Amino acid sequence: MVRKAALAASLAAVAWAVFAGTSSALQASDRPVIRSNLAVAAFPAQALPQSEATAVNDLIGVQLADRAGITADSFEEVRRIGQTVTGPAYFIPGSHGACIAVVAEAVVCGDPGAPGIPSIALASFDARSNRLSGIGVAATTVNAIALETRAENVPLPLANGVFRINTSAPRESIRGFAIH
Amino acid sequence: MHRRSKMWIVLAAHLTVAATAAAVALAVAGQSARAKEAYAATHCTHYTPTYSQDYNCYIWQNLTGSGYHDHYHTTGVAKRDDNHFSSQSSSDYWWLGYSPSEASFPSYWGQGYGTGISGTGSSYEYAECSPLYDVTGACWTDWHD
Repeated sequence: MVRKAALAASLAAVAWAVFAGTSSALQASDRPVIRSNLAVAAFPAQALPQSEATAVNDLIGVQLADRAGITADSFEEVRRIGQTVTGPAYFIPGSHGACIAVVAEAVVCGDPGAPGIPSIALASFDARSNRLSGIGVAATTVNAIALETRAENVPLPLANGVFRINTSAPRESIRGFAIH
Repeated sequence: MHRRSKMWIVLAAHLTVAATAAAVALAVAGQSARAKEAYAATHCTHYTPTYSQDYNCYIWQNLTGSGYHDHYHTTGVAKRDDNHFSSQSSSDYWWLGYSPSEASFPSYWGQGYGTGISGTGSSYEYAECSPLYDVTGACWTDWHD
């Protein structure tokens, strides 16, 4: 009788462990995290107002949200990384990626800080003035970053893992970033 | 082994399977509910490089790179809810925008594996997407009648 009770208790414990372990693992994988090599992790966390969170979530969409691991928890832990010409920019952490969002304007998502991915960035372009204005997030391994155009490399100010883009160049001349 | 012992083992095994299935089902249901909350659009149009409306909107294909405007764009105007680019690589550069005419596209530029820009309100416009370099990806726009 004792052996039967012990066996039953043991199997019940295994069942509970499987249930709790699976649930815990699934919940943990949903939690937003910021890679340790991104300085924006040290910025104060804040919650986006519900209306703004909804607007940003709609722009991110299901595909990008799944890919970056953006959930409702992500919008409770955003970092305000600066002001752009189209509004404040926020870093939104996911469980395996992140997005930069300017509310009601635009979002970009990626996995900054992952191997081979030193940065992500988002900028608006005014075709009348040829002005490119925006913001980006870089890993701590990045010492300097420049906007690469056909004519020259334009150094971008980089501080606390955030860089600013504010330069005038014809659209067709813009190539990408030169990173050191 | 006694018959009652076997019964306990079978019962416990069933409980284990049921608990595991319940945990997975709850997690999947939660993801699905979030996904439905996140997105609602009347139509979608995939326009890179093939054209499809309301199906295969997010399918990745080989796209050729170009920094020039109107590299890929819709064939007609609409009231756009948003415009998107998605690609395999997180280091891709792209342009994304709208235009009331095919001649001038105001834009967003950036780096990342996916992006979305907000819509055109009540204005009927074309949607545009131009990766700077050859990529495996897709561009699509959501719109309504």
